[in-house]
Amino acid sequence: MSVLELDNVVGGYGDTQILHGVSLHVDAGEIVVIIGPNGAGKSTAMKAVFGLLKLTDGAVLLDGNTITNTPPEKVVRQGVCYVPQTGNIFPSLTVEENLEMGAFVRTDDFKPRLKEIYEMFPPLLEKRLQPAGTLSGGQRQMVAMGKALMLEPKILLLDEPTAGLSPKFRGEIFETVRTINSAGTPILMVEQNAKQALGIANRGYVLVDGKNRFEGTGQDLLNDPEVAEMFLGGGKQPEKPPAKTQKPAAKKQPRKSGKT
Amino acid sequence: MAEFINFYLIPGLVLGSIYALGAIGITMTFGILRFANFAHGETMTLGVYIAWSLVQLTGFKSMVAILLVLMPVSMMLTIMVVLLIDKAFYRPLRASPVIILVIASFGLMLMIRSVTQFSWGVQLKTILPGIQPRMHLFDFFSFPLKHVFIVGGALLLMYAVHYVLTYTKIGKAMRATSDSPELARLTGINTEKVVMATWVMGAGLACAAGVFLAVDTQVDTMMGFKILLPMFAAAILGGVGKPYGAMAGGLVIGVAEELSSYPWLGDGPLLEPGYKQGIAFAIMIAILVWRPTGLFKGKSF
Repeated sequence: MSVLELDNVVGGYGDTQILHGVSLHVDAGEIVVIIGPNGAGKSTAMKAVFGLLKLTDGAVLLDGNTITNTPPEKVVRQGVCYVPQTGNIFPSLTVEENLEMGAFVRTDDFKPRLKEIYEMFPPLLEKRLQPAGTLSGGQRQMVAMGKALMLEPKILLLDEPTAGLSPKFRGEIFETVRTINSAGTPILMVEQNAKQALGIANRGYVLVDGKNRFEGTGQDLLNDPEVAEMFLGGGKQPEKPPAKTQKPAAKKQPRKSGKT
Repeated sequence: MAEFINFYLIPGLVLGSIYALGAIGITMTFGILRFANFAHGETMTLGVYIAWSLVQLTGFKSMVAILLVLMPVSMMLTIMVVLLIDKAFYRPLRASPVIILVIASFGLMLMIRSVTQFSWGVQLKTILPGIQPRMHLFDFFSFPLKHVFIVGGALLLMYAVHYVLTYTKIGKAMRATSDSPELARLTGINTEKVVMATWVMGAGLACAAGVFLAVDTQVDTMMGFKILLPMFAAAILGGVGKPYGAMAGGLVIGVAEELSSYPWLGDGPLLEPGYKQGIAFAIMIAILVWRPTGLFKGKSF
């Protein structure tokens, strides 16, 4: 049984339909990457898991149980952690406070977990009393991921963790993703840097226009001539405009979140 | 020098402490619920009238009894009223655009004021009657004993705020929510609880600030509204969403208002005392123009 499964999900924001039938699954221990052109609905598919948009059809299953259209604060309690692309840390809180907030829904003692997180991200231990907003981009991502991992989630969702980072940090983040995964957490990740992401992924999905286009193991997709031509070839084309198409989705989110 | 301290600086600190307490609530509501709460001044007035009624009811007339016994009770009662108001008016509007909430708070301001005026009448009252003792230090400083209580009480409450925000889970969650409500929700923070805690803190402090003001001056149905502007100015000066900023902003504005009528140049006051409130307004405008994020880098709009 898959840890997470999206079964032909259809939905969007308000009247705008973005997902026209996306199916994917993440099995225990896997890293699964979603790639695709801008506006393909990659991030939206991920938000669908987290109850951030209204699904009109299809189902989201966690460990075989339906969680379709469950609001985010409840999805978290079921063991799904989501790291948004931007605004994924509390800048005025210290690193340690950020991690503590990650454990907000835990009622047991999270101190041992905190220690594990610091072992996983040594730079954070050093800066634990600094406001998270003062950290570098790469370290902020570490805080964001560490915060999500405080819950020891069943699955971790990462929305473009390397967006806006320099190549050096990008490599570091992918390395971190691999570390987290090897500690046992399955990961579903949306990425613009398709080549690198597929390199560390067990499997990948290519979404186009809100639908599955290709799927396969990371290597298969890397070797597929059509995929290569579309997304990996020049690499530059699909990388530039994302800022534009990603914006509307990002803007919707805070409004939606206001509704409790 | 003694005159400067006794008649300008100390009253400035007293006024500043009162503004600071009120501004904390305004800035927290702004940070967490995302709207400027116009009814905050009225919350303060309501708290004062509750305290005044308790004084009449119990017959406790000494300052110590009022501040140590009746004020905490009035704070709790005010908090209860505000939580009911939240449930009845703000919760159904939680998902509405900010402007709706602002207008709702404006409506509540008028409603609470009218209810207060209807229930208690509009004539001035005193909560602490009679001539109050003065304290003398080094035959140089002289100030009413009540000022010591007001500033001391305010500092104590501010320390309590600091303690809650720094060391308790709900306090940290309040700061987190103020940083980013969306992320707070994604993190699983119980935002309704955070909202409740915000009202508890805001209403409690508003009541305390009101009682301090009433002890220092008198009881008036417009008293909260009259200091709404300086409290907003304090919140903006400190940086919207920043409780420590509100504390600093409140003190600065209170002291600035009082010092503005000191005879800095020549014999007469620099500014007629009647223009005191203009100082808060001027500071607010200046901050909005030159440094909209305030002293403590709050949110800007």
